[in-house]
Amino acid sequence: MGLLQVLHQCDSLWSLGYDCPDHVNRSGSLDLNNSQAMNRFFQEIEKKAFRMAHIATNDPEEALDIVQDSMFKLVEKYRNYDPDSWQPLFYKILQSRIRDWYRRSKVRNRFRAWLGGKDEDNEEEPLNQVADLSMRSPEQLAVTGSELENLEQALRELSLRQQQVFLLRAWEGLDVKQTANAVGCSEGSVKTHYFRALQALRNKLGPAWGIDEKV
Amino acid sequence: MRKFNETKSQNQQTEQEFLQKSCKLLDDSCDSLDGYTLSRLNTIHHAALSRHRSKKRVLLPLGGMLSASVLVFFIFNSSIVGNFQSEQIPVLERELADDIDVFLEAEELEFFEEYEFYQWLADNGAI
Repeated sequence: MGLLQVLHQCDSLWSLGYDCPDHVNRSGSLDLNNSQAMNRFFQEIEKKAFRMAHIATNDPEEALDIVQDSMFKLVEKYRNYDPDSWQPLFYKILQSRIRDWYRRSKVRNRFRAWLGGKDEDNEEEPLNQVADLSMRSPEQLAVTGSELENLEQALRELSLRQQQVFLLRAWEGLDVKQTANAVGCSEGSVKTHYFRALQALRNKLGPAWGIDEKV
Repeated sequence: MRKFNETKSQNQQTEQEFLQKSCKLLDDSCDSLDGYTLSRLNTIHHAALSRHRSKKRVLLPLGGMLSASVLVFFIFNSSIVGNFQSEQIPVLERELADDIDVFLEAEELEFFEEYEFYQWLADNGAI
């Protein structure tokens, strides 16, 4: 028996000892296939994941860190799960990491405001405090900037929940249940957030895009 | 009623158009990511996969070797201690028996036979 075979059997034993629910693929012999499948899954999903994190944080390095953490977590905890379940699981981790980042930046901003003697009551939400280099409103951007910039700016002006729900439902195509699970709220809340996000985006961008008038 | 349905249908259509355009813009933004970001993403996802592989393939044999070493150590140790103890016990028993013999030999039997007399002498000897 070759060394590789021995190592492969070790992989199998490792995966058998892993705490996982019934629907999980417990066959250790598929571990190598799972690894290849996970590689393909990451290739398919990495760009969208980065864009979501980037829109949320408005910082490419922070976005890359969030994507990295999410991928590591998925591999560490869910590598032996059915590949069909990876997408909602990955987005659940990603959204959780984005929320963590959001909380941390909120605390950091409070601390900075306290140290700097800034009036905390006037403090805005962290995402809104991230510097917009163009310093233009969505309406101005709609006229002068590119359509993508308009969309990104409008998405950043949504609440974090609305932004997450809109991107997961409209762009990634998750259903209400999967979105609720990923974002960590009820299905009713998902519908409400989605409706409000869509309404806000259409109000800001629809007329400029020539799609519809004010909703 | 018909007008309501027409309005609703029109609204759904424009909503669909809006969503399609939004998704297309976001998809295009993924396709136009810069080389640095694409390279970083590629590195990250391979690091995630290789970290898992290296973790398993290095730690598992190491863990096995460590367990085996501990097991061998205990077996070796217990056999040495066992042998040592099996040799030690008769020696101790022999030494203890010798000590008792020496103790008994030191006292003459007459002493025990005349024990009552020596007891009386001890009580009245001072008189």
